[in-house]
Amino acid sequence: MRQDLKAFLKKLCAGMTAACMMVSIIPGIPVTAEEGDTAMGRYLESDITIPESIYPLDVVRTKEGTLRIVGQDTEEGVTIWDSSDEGATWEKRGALPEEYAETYFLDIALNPEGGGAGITMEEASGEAAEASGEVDEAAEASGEAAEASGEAGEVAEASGEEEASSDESIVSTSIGSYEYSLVCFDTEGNAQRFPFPSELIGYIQFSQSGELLQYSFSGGVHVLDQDTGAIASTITESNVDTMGICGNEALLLTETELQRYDFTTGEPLIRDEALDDALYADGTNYMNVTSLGGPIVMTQDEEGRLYYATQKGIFSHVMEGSVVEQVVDGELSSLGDPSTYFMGFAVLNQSFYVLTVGGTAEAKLLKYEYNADVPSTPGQELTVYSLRENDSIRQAAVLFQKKYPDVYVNYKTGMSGTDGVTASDALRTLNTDILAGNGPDVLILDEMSVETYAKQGLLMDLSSVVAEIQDSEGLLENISEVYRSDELLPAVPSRFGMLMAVGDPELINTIDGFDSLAELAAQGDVMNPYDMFNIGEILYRSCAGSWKNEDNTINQEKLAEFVRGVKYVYDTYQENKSEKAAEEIEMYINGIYSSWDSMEEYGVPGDDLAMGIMDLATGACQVKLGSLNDIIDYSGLVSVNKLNGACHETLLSMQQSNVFRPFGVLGVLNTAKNTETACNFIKYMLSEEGQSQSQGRGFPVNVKAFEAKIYTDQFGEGGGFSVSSSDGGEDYVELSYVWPTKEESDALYEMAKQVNTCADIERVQHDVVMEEIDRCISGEISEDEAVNVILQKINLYLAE
Amino acid sequence: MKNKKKDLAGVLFLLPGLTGVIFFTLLPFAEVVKRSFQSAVTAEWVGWKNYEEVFSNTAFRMAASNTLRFTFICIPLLVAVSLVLAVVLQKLKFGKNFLKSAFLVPVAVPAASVVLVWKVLFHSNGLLNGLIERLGGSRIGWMSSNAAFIVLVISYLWKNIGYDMILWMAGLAGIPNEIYEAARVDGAGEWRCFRSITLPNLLPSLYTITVLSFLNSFKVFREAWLVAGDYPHQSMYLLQHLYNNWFRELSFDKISAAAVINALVVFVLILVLRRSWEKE
Repeated sequence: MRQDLKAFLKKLCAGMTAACMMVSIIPGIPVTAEEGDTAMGRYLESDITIPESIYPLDVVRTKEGTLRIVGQDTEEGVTIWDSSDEGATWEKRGALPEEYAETYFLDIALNPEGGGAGITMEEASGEAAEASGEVDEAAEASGEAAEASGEAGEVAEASGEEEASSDESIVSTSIGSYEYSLVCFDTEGNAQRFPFPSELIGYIQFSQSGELLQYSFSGGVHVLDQDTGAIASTITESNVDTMGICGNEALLLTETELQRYDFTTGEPLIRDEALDDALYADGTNYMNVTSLGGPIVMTQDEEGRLYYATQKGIFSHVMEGSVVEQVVDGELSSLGDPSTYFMGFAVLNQSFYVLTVGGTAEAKLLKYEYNADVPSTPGQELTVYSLRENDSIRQAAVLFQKKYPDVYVNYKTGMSGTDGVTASDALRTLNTDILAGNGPDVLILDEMSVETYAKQGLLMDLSSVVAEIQDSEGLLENISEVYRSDELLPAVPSRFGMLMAVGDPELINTIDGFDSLAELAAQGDVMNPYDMFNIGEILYRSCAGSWKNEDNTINQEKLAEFVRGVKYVYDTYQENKSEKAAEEIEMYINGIYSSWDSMEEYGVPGDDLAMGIMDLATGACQVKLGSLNDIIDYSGLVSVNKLNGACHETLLSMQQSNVFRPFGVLGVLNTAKNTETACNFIKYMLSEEGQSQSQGRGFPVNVKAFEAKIYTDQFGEGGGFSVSSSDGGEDYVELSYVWPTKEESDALYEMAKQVNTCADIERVQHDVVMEEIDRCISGEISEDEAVNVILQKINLYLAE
Repeated sequence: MKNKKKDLAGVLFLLPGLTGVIFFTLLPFAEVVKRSFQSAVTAEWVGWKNYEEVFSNTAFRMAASNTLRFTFICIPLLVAVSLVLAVVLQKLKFGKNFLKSAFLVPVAVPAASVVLVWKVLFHSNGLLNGLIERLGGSRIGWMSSNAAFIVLVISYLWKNIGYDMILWMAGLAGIPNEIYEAARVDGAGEWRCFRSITLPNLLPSLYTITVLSFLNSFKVFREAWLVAGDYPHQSMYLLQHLYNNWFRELSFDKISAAAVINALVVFVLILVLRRSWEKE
């Protein structure tokens, strides 16, 4: 009996174990929430209209409970505006005196208690600059370093009369001397100016109770005395990338950690683990990469709760609490736009006001208001896939979501660039997903073979989608129809670049093949050293498309012509280059080239013409080859022409002519779960709205967006920016960007209509050819060997 | 009654393994067979079209011939060399264990490390070419000429010889020493002992070792792919390269047809091997 029981228990145990194992291997069945269970409530984003004339620089919640912004006006200078109805209307509160109307402010911050402060940068007056120069020379002669000044600032008269600046507030650079000042003002605009030590220049912020803190480009953080402009106390001397304030705490973000200080005492505070962990998740970096805005902005509500906004969203945290809560998801709002940086942040009545600046320096005041009637997450998901991270797609995804709040765009990339995944690996993973029915809805086919996916019947015919945009807004058909085959349109490029030769018209017009290019290369410094160093890559896209025979093999003659031509041009240049060019090439090899090369990872093509504009301006070269991808670069070329009278453009004609480089090639998978939304996304990407807002490389394929892009003077009356670069000697050449004239824009338009040959963007062939070209030009193998190896590999690829 | 119980126990013991084989091998293979008659993505029935395409595909023919060439050169070489080493090692009185471990080290070396060694050795500016140039010779494109195949063969032998040697040694340990002693008393020399005692007694091991070596030969693709990528020199372009590339190009139809052909060839080869072993 006992043995029977034992046997029964054993069986029971074995049975239960087996049952447990069976259950554990059964795939989890997703539990779908019933409609009635859908969680409701989400912060929705809206744009706040700000007074048209101003460019906003900061926003705060005042102690009176109103919203206040400060901005710069082309006519009145710095003005202060209040809104007592949460941004619906604005009333001007004050303006800084006229003398500041033309002043350039590095940073302006508003004081929640009233008034504010700004750091100005102006060209030093002759006397002051001279004095500074003398001091500099004296200091140099004696070998003494200039003393950092905390006591340098003498109070200037409120009347606005300028006293001679202290030496520390003047910086002499190769292109002039600049003087820095701290301007403190009240709400009505009455201002006081104090000389500001140059080593302190950076950013300023006010605490909620009105203390003024400053952190410099060199990483130091100080509390400033608003009555004297001098340093009241120093919190730290270095290492701070950016700063936030909450209560009496200065929250200093360094490269690796959050440091907390009580700025009233200067004492460090204990680590806030939850906040530190949340801020530095995924190795986030808070270094300011643009002077327009920062990667993070912080504020506090009436109860002292900390809020911060980054591209990941808006988060809240009670200091030293254990939780950091995400209030707004960056991916579901404009915050997630990779070109977004932050200038100001305020919380008022449980709504958030974030002042952001985008890729074109356009500033926006965004409001996030809680809406209890919308689902907490969007109802539809649209998956967009690209091989590499593409900022313009991410930006478009954010903007699309804003237009369609019920759609969540899940943007996936195959290669992060940090995990060692190769393009082939990524494509195999993508194909597995497609085969398993988990593929994306929209494919960005850059570097992929459109032909392969179309041949397998995976890409939807986009004819009707494209026709709709074509009819309403117009598309450049020479670009948009390039993938049409057998009446089907499987893919459409959303942007394009034009392969060009730019520079001295007498020289660029002679280029019609490898021999003429070699003749220019024989003239030494005529050609751009980077082009010559990277000549295979530069010429590949204007040649590779011509190599394919009708029987799907490679035309040996054409390929051999390319390999021999590239080698010939390279060798000719090497024999004739000047010492200066040799040094530059050495620089490319030892550093710049490697980072330049990796720019492709960040969406900047390796053959981008932007990388040679200053070389043309300084005379370092007279001819540059590459892809013209942006109107700003075109304005750069136009500006060079105005500077030296010798910079024209012509479409590059090598083995192929009139070649364009497609960017953001869009396709919709036939297996898409929601084809309608996917088509809406394509329509948005091709629409004037989508193409005007997206700031990716390449010209828009949408006619209206293209025309707006090339004919609208983005520089305005004030003119464009200036760039200066050494001419190789002691002198500097300053290039002031000017907007193209109507005739110049017309010429660009003509070229855009003329390009009709799509450059080969397929990755496998490109990689094979480039590998062997590199070995060939380095002398490792002969031209014939290179041709044979390429032929063998490519024919094998094509035979597969 | 007792036999029935024993049979049931046997079936129950077999069941977990069999279930795994059915779910993870047989059913997926049945799916592959089905797909070999369908189009890649839309799963339309296309009959023998995929097989026709595969047989007329020059890349497939090249890959299949390279794979067969590799197999027919490597397997006999590996089996013979590892047997000789095993016999020699068996006879050694000193350093036997050390040498055994030394020969086994390559088995434990990860493929990625092997690849690094390959690159250092066989790069056009690598150690081997450096040595050749010092000796007055000219550089060899190890990975970009027919030498690539020899490199692949040597790499396979180096990696697998220790493993096969251990298998042979296990076989050798199973031969009773008394047989050798009796033969020596009858005047048999070392070679006669090897030919008439060792070899016949090792025949049962030969089948296992050959099949295992054959299956291991497919793994050499890892090193080949890591060193030379998707498109190596055509002499070392194997079937796995082709499958890998077809997968990237979404040619699931062709992969399925080629996989069925491949499985049939392997199956037939193993049957032939088994048959010849049974005859012996």
